[in-house]
Amino acid sequence: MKVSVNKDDLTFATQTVTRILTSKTSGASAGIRLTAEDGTLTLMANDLEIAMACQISAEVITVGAIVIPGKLLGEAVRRFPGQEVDLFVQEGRQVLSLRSGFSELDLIGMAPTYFPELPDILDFSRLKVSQSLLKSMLRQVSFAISTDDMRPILTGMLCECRDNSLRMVAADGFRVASRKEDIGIECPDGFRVVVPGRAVNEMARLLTDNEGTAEVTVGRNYILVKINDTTIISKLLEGNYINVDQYLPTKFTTHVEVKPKALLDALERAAVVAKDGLAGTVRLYFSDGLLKIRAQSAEHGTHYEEWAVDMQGESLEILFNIRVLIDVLKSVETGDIKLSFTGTLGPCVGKNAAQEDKYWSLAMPVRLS
Amino acid sequence: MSPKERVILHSDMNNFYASVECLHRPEIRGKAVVVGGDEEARHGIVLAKNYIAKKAGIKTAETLWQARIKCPGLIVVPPNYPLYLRYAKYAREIYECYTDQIEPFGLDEAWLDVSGNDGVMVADEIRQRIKAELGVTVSIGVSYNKIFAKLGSNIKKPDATTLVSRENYQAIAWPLPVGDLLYVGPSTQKKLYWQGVSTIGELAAMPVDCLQRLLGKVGCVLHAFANGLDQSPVARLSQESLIKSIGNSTTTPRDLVCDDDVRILLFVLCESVCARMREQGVLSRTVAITVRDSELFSVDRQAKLKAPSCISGEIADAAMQLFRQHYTWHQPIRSLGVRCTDLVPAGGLQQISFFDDEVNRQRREALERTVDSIRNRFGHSSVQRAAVWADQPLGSINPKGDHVIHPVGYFKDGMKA
Repeated sequence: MKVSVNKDDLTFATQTVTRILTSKTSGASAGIRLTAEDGTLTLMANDLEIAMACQISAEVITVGAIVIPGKLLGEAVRRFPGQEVDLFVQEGRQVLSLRSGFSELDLIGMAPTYFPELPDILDFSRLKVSQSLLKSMLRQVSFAISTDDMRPILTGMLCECRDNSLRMVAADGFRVASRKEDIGIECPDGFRVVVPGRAVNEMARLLTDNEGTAEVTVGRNYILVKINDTTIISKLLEGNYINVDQYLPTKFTTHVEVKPKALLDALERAAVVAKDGLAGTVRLYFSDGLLKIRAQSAEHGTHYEEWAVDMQGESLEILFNIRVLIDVLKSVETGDIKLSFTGTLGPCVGKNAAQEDKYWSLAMPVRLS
Repeated sequence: MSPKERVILHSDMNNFYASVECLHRPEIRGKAVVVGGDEEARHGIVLAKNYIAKKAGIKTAETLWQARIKCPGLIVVPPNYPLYLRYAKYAREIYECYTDQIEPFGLDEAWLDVSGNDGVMVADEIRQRIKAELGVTVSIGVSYNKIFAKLGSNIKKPDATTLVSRENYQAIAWPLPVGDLLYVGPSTQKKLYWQGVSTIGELAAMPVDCLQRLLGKVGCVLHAFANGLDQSPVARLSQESLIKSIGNSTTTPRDLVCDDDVRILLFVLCESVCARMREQGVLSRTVAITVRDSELFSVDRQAKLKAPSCISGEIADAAMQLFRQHYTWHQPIRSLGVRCTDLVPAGGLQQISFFDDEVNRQRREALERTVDSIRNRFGHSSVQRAAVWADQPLGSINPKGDHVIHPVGYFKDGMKA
């Protein structure tokens, strides 16, 4: 193999694919495979749950492939002095020579023979979605993905495509977020799959706010997402996702409309002192068009503020974990948020005035047991 | 003391509850203060008192109205356990600077193994630090075993250090009344009194076999205690709550043969365990069951709860599920136990999950508290679950009332004679 590539391209590709390598992986799958062919160099990492491939343009003199320990390559490429990097593997030897400017580096690698192949995706449906839309959907939903292994299915995000709308849902027991969007094109069979949180986070990182599209392919056991020159393939989580709509209350006692930014800032101020117990609990009182916010800890002090809010219904006192509420508020992209409460111990539903029924989120309060 | 000799401190916070209350309520300092239970709930007794109240002749555990007669103008404050727990934790953090062998005994007492150091010097330093940093005082006994250290901390109060060494224990510990010794309660004291034993020295002089005949297994233990022969180690420090678990088990009047039998008994056990958790003001996050079959083979299984709980219905469901998962009915069952561990203090904050109907959970807890108070007034059998009623011999077991459980045991693995 003998290729020449741009250093920044190579750095980007290396950094992108090495992110999925964890300390868990070992052997060939702890490495990155470099494949040179048809004017491109493809870097790929694969830990059998998730695989990521990044293609960059290259001047290919001889085709070939090699596997290099992921960490080594990342550290090396970043520090090269020149703008171009020449990569060379001598036939029959498993050593990658990197040359850039006056610097030369030989890295010991492995034959690509044992590198895990990508799975075949069976019975797939494919759709193209605008990157900015997908990014916005993930931003509004992915925060609620659970990190607790008690209910493994909740460590993923539900992706559902029916008729011509795409819906994404995440829930962790304390929060739910749901976003639905018309994608304009008919998806003939539709699908309902659960994508692991890890893959969702990688996708969110790669998506940009620009005009481009992302290609999503959903098969029986895998999802493949192609964003620009990067491809993510992830195993899907097995099992039935919960029906979150059943937790969405229909009767409310109190409605409040606020600017998310104003409440967010207030909560961040409260978070300064509220560090005890459940990592920060804040007390909200809504009464007579007034919102009072109170937080305190024995160790750090107290916080209090009050301001007028647009409210309807009964007055209410409710406790929240500050982070839970902040996440919900942050997920509102534009306009005011309408918070609807069901009482001191019941869920609070957040809706975005601008997005109507396309988006809702739910946060559970904290109780004084 | 020889170099291999252990150096053990027993630190006792003086008038702990009352001192902490006075610290937090400047307006009651310098007055006679007692911490008292709720009179409405018929818990109106003196839980703790300060020195001024003590001077007026008020005793712990007497009724509040008696105390008020003895001391007009007496100030009674309700107990604030979370606050006391916090101070107990602060004190423990100071102890941790000196050793990791710290064994709490209740909220206000702890043994420390500081072997290799000059015990009196360490004790004086701890005393000064607790006074300066927490604003309360401790008395510390220094000795070569836990029992004499505990006696020592009781001799000079408040804010004092007492050394009980191999040289002076006969002069210091032996004249003390025998009732000061751990495990000598009123009935043991009475038995000893009839043998002419009223001081620890007299107990020490009794032949072991005599004591064993008189008191059984505990006789040997007391003989060792009185002679300074106790070898029990100071437990290692653990970060968990002071009470680690609450459990009940029972050997059944007849063997259990089916799931229904087990369900009845689990309800009975869980009701007892949960009532005790409510008494202690704790919630559990893990439930464990012990099943012993008629061949005396036993298994222990545990599972995490979805949310911290003291609701017997929830605990019983989790216990039953554990049982169904792990027991195959290869043998009938002879004894069954339920234990709640991973305890957290109630009154803390708890993130609610949308999987649980929290309003309903609170109602269930309130219901069980009501049942507790009915049972306190009218007896355990005054209210029963219908399921438990189905089998009288099994259902009428009252684990909570039938066993006296010491909140903290001195012997961690049971008593060894």
